[in-house]
Amino acid sequence: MTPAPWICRSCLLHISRPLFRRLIRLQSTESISPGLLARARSIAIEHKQLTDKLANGFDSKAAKKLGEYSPVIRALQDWDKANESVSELTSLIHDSTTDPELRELAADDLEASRSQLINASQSLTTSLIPVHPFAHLPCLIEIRPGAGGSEASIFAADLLRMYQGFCNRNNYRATLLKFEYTNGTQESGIPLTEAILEIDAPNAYGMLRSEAGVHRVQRVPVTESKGRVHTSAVSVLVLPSIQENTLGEENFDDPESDYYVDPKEVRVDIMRARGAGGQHVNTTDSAVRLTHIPTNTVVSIQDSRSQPKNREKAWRLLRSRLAQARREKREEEVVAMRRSVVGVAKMGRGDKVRTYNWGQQRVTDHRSGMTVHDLDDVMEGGETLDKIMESVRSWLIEKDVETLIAENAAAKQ
Amino acid sequence: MPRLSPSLLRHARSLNPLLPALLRPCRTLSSAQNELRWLDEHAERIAQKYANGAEVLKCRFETKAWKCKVLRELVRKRGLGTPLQYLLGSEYFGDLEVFVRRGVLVPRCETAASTTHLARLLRRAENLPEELKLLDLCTGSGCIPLLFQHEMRRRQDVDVSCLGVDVEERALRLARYNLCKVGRGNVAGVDGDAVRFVRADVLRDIDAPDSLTRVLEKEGLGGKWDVLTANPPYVSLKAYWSSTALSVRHFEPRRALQAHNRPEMDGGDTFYPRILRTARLVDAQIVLLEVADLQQGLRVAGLARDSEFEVVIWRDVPDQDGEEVVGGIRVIGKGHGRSVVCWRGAGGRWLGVE
Repeated sequence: MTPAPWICRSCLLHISRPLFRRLIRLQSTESISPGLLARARSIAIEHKQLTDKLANGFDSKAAKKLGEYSPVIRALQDWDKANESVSELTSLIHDSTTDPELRELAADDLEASRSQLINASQSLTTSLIPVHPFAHLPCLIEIRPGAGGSEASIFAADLLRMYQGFCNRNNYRATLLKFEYTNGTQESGIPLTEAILEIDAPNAYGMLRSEAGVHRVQRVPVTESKGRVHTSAVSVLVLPSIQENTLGEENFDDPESDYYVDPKEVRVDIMRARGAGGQHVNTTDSAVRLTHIPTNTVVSIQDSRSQPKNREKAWRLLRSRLAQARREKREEEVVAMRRSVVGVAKMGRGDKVRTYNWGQQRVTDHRSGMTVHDLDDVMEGGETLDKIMESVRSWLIEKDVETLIAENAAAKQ
Repeated sequence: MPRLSPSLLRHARSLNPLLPALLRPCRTLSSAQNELRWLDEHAERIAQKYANGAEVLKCRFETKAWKCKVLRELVRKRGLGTPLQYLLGSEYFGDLEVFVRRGVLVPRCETAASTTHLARLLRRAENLPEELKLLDLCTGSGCIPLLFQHEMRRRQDVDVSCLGVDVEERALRLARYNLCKVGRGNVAGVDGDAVRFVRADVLRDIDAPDSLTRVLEKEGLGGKWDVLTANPPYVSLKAYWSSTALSVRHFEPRRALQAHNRPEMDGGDTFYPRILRTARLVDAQIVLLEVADLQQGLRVAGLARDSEFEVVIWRDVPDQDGEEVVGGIRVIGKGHGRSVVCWRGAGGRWLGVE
């Protein structure tokens, strides 16, 4: 009996794995994940219902939703068409009765249809990505110098000018809310300690949220006497500008409003007379108690002798309490976002999102991996900047698709 | 009634020395504290009034000492059981503040709830007549016509005119005072000309000079009345001695609670046959009658069905969910059975039940 030969552990592990791991590129597969497809189908059904509803009478909420769904529907139709033609062509090729000339033609067509299907599934996936909840809002850009001393401050001022130029070119209204220079004056072109730029345009947040992160600069600073290249960093924060009136403070009937309370979710307790009531007793109890069942918020009012007045006051109090809770929750989200964008530890040169290199006259975005060489145009906020931002946005979408698919898979399990 | 525990009384005394006296009628600390606050505000108002008078007369006046005195007196009276509304001189009836006086029944919140509910149903109704006429029997302080008028004010295309009827001169005086107070300056929006009050006896035979029909004819108010409401005396003899609160028995007029001097003859139902007969006479489309409880409600509903009305019973809070059928009659809302709503002809459409 010969003993089994000794095999090292790492070799064993290698044997247990497949020889070639399949490399999956999500964006270019022609097949779309079944979970996403099911989602698209359910959206299509809802779209149809909404269309029927709108045919009977106008409803602004339904109309808005319909507008949100229409790209999905269009993409789904395209995908269906492409899918059908591919399957038809495939069956034609595999059919033994087809004459060879036709088969050749079909094979040619199949290539084109395949690429169409790939495009269609790509656009369907991207259209399924939920729009960022704050994307439609105006935004605030906060620029602060990070590592690199006064050179970072100078570059911060350069970046501010870059974004101002960008807004000017795109006709966005940009207001400087706050700006401080290191020596206390407010002249431009000199080192900056903090600047907040408000961009008051619809969709500004969706447009600019890709700018958030650490921007790295590599150049010979003007303050450098020996001609060495320095690397400095500037942090850029992009926050949605949530104004009170954007959310419809006073509109109690609008379900989107913070102040909206569904009357069905509220239990009303009126302290009724003990005993027989009516003419038999003479009660002075006018207390009203409201309980918001989902959040278990209780409001009890007994100030006034008039029950309707108490009730009105109790509703007002309940509304403002719930609105306060909702606003706090939203602010927490904003704070979490702020932390995730630039944590205290993430202010260094390493965690950069973009590099501006003067020596090579290039700008590289590290997320999308795009490099452009027209540095001057970028620094003026020209069209080259647009190109970079576009690439980052598509990178963000790719990321979103990945999480969407992961979520779908998790939901299935 | 359970005894107030000494610890509660001690605790109340530590909060405010006036509270223990108020605990006797109120029974709970929170409602005693509320009443003390309202009495305090009232005493402040009275003292301020006297202070203004004293200023005019240029004599010395210790506002604070006076206020303390007034408050102590008010608390003493309340402790003996006087209804708070008589002490403060007013009661909130729906959205209105109605004045009250000794000798006239204090309006109850259940009456306000059913009146408001009726007015809200009618406000939504279609094809109401251009002039909607409401006849209120046993009107007392005049609260029902005033509140109805106030609630219907938002309905621009309908002119509402109301007539309140009572047998007591005192009640009529108070009702007219209320009309003048509420209607004047249109603060609460009650149209003064559209509400009237007359004296008539609902229980009298038709031939008597002060019977309702005779009075209506004499005043030129005969003819059709679309809506008839009534909060008649309905407490039975047994209920008067068992479930009626002491402060009600001692301080509110017995005539407003019980039909006549010999209530042992019936269970508090004296008024309803007469009111329903009147309703047929004036061709009322909707009749709203307050009753003591569900049992009496069912009896009255039987009477109303005999005079060819459709009937539903509302509980204390008619606008809350809850519906059941008792003895073949729909009962809506939460609480005790409180009002019998009858309709015929166009009334069903107005109420939205058809």
